[in-house]
Amino acid sequence: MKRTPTRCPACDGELMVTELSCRACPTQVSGEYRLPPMLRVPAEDQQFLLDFILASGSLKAMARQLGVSYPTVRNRLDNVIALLQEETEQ
Amino acid sequence: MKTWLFRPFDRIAGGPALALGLVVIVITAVVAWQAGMVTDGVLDLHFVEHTRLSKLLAMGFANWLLLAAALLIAGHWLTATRYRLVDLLGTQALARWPMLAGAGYMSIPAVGRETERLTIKLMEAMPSEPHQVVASMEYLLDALWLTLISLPVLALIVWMVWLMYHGYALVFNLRGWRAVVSFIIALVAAEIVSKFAAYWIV
Repeated sequence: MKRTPTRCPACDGELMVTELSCRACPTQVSGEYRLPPMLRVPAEDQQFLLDFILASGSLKAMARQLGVSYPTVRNRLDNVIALLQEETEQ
Repeated sequence: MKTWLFRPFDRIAGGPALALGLVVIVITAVVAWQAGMVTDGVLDLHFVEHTRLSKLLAMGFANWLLLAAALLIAGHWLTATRYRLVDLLGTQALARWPMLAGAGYMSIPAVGRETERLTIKLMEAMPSEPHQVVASMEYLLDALWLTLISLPVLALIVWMVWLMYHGYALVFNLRGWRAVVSFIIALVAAEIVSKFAAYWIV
């Protein structure tokens, strides 16, 4: 699956959605829409959040799955939370 | 391999680290006891006349718990994250494993004998008169030889301190100078208290 780009490849600025198309009919919507905060964090953090939700929010299960210790996973989650807080405040 | 040597707690913490760490503390006490040494401080390993194994075990557990307590106070005060006590106890117990290697090295008969002999010789040569500033130059080679023999133990102690720091910083998710300074203060405090504890135990 193609990843949704979140940063501009030329200047590393934030990318916005300017056009949305309906998958069922030819309707197109134009405008300027910011990506939701969870899509603005780096791809590996998005994957981490997805894995975390799929593991029912269990850090122990995540640690087992990733082959790392509990505090390592918890710190990673802390870092993603800090990123999300920054993105939400912007 | 590098991770297991220098950042082992990225992979292991909590209950498994605690179980392994407790085994390390017990084996260290047994090895030190057999070689006629004591761990009379958080970072100490010295030769003594004779000490009971129970006292060495008590010292081992006291050293571990005193440092963990000091780090708990510092970390709890500084951290913004939720931590588990078992992770702190586990990482600090397992971080002591280089001390086991150090005790093992010093229990090699030739190393132990030579270290003891040189230490006694150099202690006797220490200046006794106020006007004597340094010991006689004839002891310089002995001092260098003792330093060389002790180098592996010094390296192991440095490694142990690094592991202790790594465990502390990871458990409380601390970085930068706050982590370093608070760790040093906690380590010094624990070392001082552990010397009193060792004195009390003996």
